[in-house]
Amino acid sequence: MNTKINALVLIFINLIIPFSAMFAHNIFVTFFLFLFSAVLLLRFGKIRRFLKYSIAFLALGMIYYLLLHFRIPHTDVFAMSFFILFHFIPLMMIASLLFYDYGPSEILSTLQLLKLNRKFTIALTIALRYIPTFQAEFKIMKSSMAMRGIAFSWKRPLQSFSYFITPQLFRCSLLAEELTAAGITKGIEYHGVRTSIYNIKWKKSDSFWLISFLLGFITIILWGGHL
Amino acid sequence: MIKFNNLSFIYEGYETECLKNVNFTIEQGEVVLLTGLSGSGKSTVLKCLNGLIPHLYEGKLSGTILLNGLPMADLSAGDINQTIGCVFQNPRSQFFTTSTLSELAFAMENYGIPYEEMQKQIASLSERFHLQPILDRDIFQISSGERQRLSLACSFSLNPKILLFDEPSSNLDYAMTMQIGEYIRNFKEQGYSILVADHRYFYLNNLLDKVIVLESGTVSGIYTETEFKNSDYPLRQFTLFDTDYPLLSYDPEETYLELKNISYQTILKNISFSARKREVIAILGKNGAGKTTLAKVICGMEPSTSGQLNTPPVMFIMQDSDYQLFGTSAENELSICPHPVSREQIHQALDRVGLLPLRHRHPFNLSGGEKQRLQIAAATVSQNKVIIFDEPTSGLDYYSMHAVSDLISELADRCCLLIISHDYEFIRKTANRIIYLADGQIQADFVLTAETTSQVAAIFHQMKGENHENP
Repeated sequence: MNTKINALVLIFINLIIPFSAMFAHNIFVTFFLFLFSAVLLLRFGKIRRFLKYSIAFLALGMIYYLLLHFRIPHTDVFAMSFFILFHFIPLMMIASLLFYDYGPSEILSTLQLLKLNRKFTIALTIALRYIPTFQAEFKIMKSSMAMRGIAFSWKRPLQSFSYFITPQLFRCSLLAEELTAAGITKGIEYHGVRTSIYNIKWKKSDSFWLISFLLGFITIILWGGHL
Repeated sequence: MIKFNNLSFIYEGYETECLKNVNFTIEQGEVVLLTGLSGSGKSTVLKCLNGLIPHLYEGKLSGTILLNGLPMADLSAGDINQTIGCVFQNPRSQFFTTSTLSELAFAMENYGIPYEEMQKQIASLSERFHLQPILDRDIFQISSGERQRLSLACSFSLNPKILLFDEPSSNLDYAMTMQIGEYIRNFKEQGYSILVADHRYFYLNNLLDKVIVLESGTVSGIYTETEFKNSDYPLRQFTLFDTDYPLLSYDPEETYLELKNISYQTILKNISFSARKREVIAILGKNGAGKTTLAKVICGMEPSTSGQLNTPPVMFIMQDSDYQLFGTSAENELSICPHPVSREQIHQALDRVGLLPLRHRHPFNLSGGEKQRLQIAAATVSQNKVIIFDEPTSGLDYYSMHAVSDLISELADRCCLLIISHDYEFIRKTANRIIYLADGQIQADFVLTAETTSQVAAIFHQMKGENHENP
């Protein structure tokens, strides 16, 4: 029996978060989004990920509060960066579920339920598939840089950035090409109705999660925040 | 089943033809080897066959390819994939999804195969390719052999009649490569048509109906297997262990590297050995034996769990050079060094590996063999006394393999070298000492002499699981 939450619920929530981060001038909205994302992580049994993001959320929130409270001169840019990161932690929490706990094929099939443009859904699926591969490669590249004695140096920022970014860009292009080729040779462009090995049907429990989220979000907005 | 009629192709943005008037046919049940030096157009032929040209790679295509009598130009990529199954070279990117079950179902899902039929096909493929223990696992967590079997199973998911293999041996150990040969033999008996593009072909011995040799984009010859073996083409060996290789000198000097009871998690157990200047040590072992982990521990990328390691800074040249190139040109690549390197030194090093004329080219625009030689040039200008190579000949043609072998031998004059390799010809041509790893432990460690050379073949047979005398 499939007890996984439909990916559409997570995609919907992740579409709401950036808007609320930009327009909701109420810290309680961010706290609600964090709590809801935390519950979802725990629902998936991702305790370590939950702890990691919780620590980051609290730390960023505290740093932002301290910078704001003590009004330390010339720290406005840092305060703004911490503020943005703080608001985007819930987004990262949900995105981590989509990246690591749903396969590209599952997401492709789920997006098909929305009858979106096929080119758009394929591009989105390739992007989601690309991220975990890139992360693995990034780790290898960092080790390679260390072995070659190349470390990021503030004394030579442009050169350091060049060493860092050049292989990334080439690998990005190559990986995108390889993944697209793998997709094409397996019929990703075939113009027919796609089926799925996963149960992607909308379930009662999906409605529960979505309604819970909407009720909570709207309540917080009506209670004190505004968009 | 397949007929190439005067096929030519120019990639967009290029002026010279990558394929020029290519003509050949592949009949039902034939096993055909497509070979040629790097850049001869093998991959382009495969891309024309699996629909990636012109659907992904744009360019000017002329001539025709007939697939079962129908012009391929009239078929969509979707139609082609139902007839032709592909096994790509790169294990990292040949899978579109990240789970084994999902990947097995992926092509069927795209073609709208009903759920029950998919389940039946998955059960059948899992049994045929022994995939039951790894169903619904993360693709990045399974072994390379399991990945190769998964890749084969995926290529069969839509019941194609033609199979394309792009350098299947390049990332596999001897045992797995021989297993691919067995699978191909089996598919041939079942009437499949198979096209294999590869530089190495020992696993196809006595299996080939036809050998097509490409040279600068044109077909320079079509041979039977016997004719090919008797031709003057610069052959990699068909029978690895029957060839006599000259013995290499062994005159080691001071000790550069020492490992005492090194262990790493459950992968390496009490590894002890020392390595001296002028030693070229081939590290042998099946995929997953812990060879690369050992290299990572030696160069400090992974800390050992226990044991003592005495080594100066180590240079580790990975199998995939793309992760290790950071420069904006070949010349600049060599200047990236913890110590100052003069322009003259850089030019000398590039000249020695034959890359001086290409010194202004971006490293990512070099071919696989050229990148490998650039890495060796970087090792030359480095002051590292210990250098580790991981599969330096993977995907290299005959000439590039010999060039890499010669360069490595030159490097040995000033350092000790550890080479992780599955390439028997390269090992016999380059190494003067062998260390064999199995189950995370050293099973054999010997200097190559007239008396011990037979042990190398015995190790390869043992890795394949054959009952030969233990090394």
